[in-house]
Amino acid sequence: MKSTVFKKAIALVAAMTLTMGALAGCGRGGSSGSSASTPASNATSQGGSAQTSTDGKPDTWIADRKVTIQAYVDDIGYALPEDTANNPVFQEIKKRTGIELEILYTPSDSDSKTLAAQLAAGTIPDMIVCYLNNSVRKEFPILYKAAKEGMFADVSEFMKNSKVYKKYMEPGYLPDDTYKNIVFREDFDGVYLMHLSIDAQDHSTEFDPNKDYVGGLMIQKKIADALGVDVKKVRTLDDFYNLLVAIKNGGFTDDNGNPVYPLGPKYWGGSVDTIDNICRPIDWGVSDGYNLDENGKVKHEIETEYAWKKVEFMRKLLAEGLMNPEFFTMDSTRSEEVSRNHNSAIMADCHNYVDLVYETNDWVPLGILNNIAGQQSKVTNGKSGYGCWAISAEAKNPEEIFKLFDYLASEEGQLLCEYGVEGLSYNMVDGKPVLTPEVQQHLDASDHEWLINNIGAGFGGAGCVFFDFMMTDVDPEVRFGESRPGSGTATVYENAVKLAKEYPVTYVLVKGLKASAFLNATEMADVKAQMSTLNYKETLVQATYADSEKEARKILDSFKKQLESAGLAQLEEYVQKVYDADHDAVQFYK
Amino acid sequence: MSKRNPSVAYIQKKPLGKRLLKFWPLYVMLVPCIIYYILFCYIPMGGIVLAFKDYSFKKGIYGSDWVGFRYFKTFFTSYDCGRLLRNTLTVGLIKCILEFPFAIILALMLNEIKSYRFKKISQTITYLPHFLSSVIIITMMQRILAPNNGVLNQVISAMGGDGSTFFLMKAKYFYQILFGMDIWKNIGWDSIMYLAAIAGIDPTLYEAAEIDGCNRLKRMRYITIPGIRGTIGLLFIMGVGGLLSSGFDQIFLLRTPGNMSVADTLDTFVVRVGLQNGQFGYATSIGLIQGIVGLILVVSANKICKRMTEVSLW
Repeated sequence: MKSTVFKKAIALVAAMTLTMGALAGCGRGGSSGSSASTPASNATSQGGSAQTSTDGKPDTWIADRKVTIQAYVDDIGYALPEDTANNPVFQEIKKRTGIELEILYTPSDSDSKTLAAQLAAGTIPDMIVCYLNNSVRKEFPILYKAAKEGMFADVSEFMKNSKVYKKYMEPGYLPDDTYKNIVFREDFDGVYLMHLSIDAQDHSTEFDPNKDYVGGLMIQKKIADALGVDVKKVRTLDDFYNLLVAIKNGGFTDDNGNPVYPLGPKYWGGSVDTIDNICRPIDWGVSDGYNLDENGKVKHEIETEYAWKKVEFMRKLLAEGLMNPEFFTMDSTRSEEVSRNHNSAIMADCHNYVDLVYETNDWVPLGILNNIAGQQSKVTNGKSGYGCWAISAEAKNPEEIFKLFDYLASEEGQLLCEYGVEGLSYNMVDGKPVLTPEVQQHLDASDHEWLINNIGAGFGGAGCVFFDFMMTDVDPEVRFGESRPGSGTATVYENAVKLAKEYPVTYVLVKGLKASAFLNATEMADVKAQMSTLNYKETLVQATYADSEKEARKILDSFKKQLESAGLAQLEEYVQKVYDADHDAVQFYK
Repeated sequence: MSKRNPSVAYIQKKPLGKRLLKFWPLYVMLVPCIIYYILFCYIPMGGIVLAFKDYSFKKGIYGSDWVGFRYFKTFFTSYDCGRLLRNTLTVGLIKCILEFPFAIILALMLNEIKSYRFKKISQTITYLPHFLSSVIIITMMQRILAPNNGVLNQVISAMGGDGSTFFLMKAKYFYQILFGMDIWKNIGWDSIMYLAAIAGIDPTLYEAAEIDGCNRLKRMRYITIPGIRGTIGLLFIMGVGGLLSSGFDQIFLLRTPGNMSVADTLDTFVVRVGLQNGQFGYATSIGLIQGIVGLILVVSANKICKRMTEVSLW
């Protein structure tokens, strides 16, 4: 009897535990975030208007509250302080504005997928921030849908009274794409998406070796010297091919004594994007695959012989052992390894601010190869953005959130965000900030963790990336006398700057949006849905690895049919109409 | 078919209230299970309506506007449809049909091992891969199958062959790689059910067969296999339901631009379209097609099995 009662009691306890456990998982994940911000918001509204609450508070005071931000940016997520409550920059923001910042990040294999999932589930906190270079990027359709459906707060009224963001309304301040397709879209009934990292002045056609990156193809200096090659004169596809052949015949070996691959993957891992670097002279589809044919008609590259020319060239490189077979697929760890042990004579992509380049002096830029128009210059379409933020429609007092980011984008805010707290991480010398020796030392040693946890400022991306990412109206050289914190006095990037001076880049301005940006037009919705599942560059790679020429051509033909079936003719017709009306509207050149 | 157990009949005769009172600890233990199924299996089924709606972030699943069969029409008229169905069915056939006998063969082989210690070691070794994540397994495969310096290519090279084949970039090797990897990962785990069924066979049957002069092969053929026929039937019926679902993680990780023509399946397409492009309704409709086809296949396989072998799920 005793044992039966005991068994029943155990069973009951076990069952209750399991039941409670099951039920405990059913609560809404976002509730804790909301409840955390609610009392703070109430405290603000109880405190009354700004006039009554600023007694004894700095002029920059906004409200005593908490703002929770969900970041869909891995660079931000992996560079957050462990303890924001005791972090100097977070504390200073709280002191100046009354706002406590909480930044959330959900690690995943793709930030854009997390963004889609959380927007669909309606679990966003006060504000979101994500990558967004332009309106063609994969995050945009999701943001667009959310904005159209009222997920975000309209900030148009707040912009009018702002200090920095009101500049967005000035004609010519924003890039065309940002203005027409992101911030002030005609089909929006307000302003919902704020594009970030907009330069105060358009420097897009000027090359500044003190801050600009020199990137693309990079060759081992000792190999270039041994072959007596002037790397700047490698401009055509033949030049490039001949160089690869010369490397192969040169019998060069890597650090382990194995023969080098003349062409290796990009430093950050194999990618189909590197086709642009190695096939630049035959990259006809300059507008995201589209261009004008000899009759002035908009066509996709797949409809021309250039698709095959690319495949043929890459097949030749593979067949002759001039390219690492894992060029497109190597994972980032191994790719870094083959670059570091000099197994690649040429890296398909890297830049002068990667430690491998500026610390070793082993690598120099190659080319760049000419574009389809025969120019060695890089093409720019003017100013551009990098990130985007939006305030949730459910956020309490969105104006306070807007004011906070308007303040952080001001000169005073930028100084705090990029340099930290005066006296702690920098001092003002002749009106310009100069990092303290201790901070400079950690910056030179690339001690990111120390910078993030002990200071918390952005330091041009070397510290807490969030604050660097949220900048806009950017003009550091004019405001702070250097392109990024510490670059004026830093020794660590000396070689990077030196390389940029030795291998300057020229730019050519081509105005307009890429042809694929017009898929965002309302009448193109169905075409976009079909085309979004197709990947032209992957098709080129697939054809490159095909067993025979016949099979490779079949793969290209099949892709062409898929594209036609998805509505290629409709898109081409639409883009043609836009281009005919305004030649500066679409980015075409040849 | 068989006589009903008298104690079950007795219990079922009693009113529900009395049964609840008498066996309440058992019913309490059932509660978490019921809650789990309601919350995680039945309630989410309501999300199927998304296949017929233009999903709005703001309005939610039930408030969004109806679009009828638009997504189904889009899918079946799209260029991708044939290729996706073909690829998914091929992978499904490999996983559900082609791989099916291997676990049975392993279970039969393990059953014939006389040394208890060797048997346990063999079992443990074959189970182990099941507990490894697909990411680890596929990373290992990538290293093994790498061109030039991969183990397989080095072996081929040592034997005088061409050691530069990039297996993962060739569509023609994709199914073989998938088959080999899946077998290695799951064969041990899948054999557990069969081993349990074999353990339930009356040992006197084997003794009688031995006395009658049956060798081991005959005992396996006439006692073991018929003894686990029911289990084989049930697992086959359940497996057939997954014919139109290729599994996501393995395929997704094995995909390269080179093998995309055969490695793009409905499961990967759903993720690409649904999560990356935010077309939740379209992705749900494809998921629904998979579910319905799976259900039809299970019901059909159950009927066929019942007619042919008297084994069935219900």
